[in-house]
Amino acid sequence: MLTETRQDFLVELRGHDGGLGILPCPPSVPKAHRFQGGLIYSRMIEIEGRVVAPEGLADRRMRVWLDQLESWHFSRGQPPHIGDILDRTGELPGGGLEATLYIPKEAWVTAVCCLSTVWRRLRMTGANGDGRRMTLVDFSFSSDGPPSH
Amino acid sequence: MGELTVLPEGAEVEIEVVLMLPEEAIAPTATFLASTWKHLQIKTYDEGPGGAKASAYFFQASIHPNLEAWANAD
Repeated sequence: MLTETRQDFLVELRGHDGGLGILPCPPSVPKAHRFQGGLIYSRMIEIEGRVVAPEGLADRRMRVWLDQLESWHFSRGQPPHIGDILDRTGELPGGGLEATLYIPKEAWVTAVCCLSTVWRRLRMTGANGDGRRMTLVDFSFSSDGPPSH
Repeated sequence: MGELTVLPEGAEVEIEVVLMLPEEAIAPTATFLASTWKHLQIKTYDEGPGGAKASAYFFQASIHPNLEAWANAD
């Protein structure tokens, strides 16, 4: 489905979960990705969403993951990697539309607060669709209510 | 990263838990506790009659379907 060169998405936010998990780190994890030397620190937030647009995907569930923008998301000569939109239908039980969004660390506390209180919609633009994946070009959250039918 | 202590009989609560959080997680934790989280999952080791140590923990709004039977067991 994610085949367009450029595609705008509108997602209604229905709930969220996660945000803090600490667990022992397996030896296979590189030291650079460990927390305090031997732990995994997950701050990732999972948002339950419903696609409003594009029409072809309307009413489908979309799982949105929020994480922090890190230095490795930036590289010379390429735009920053701020996220992806994926269609994982059939890959796993319950697999479907997913989006991963990376937001600046400075905005994390604000995002957590707004997600819990104000934000109701997510707008995204994806590009370079290959059928299963699109690169995220931009995204924004807003408090707009669901569309009236 | 934390510990569970079984308090003496007659105490106001039966178990007390102390968890260490990353410093940067304090502010989001305050917001999530007030708005989103309803469950805390703790993995333990060194269990004894007086308590246990925490090896992992997760805060969640809902119990994952895979864990519902376990979480509701006596």
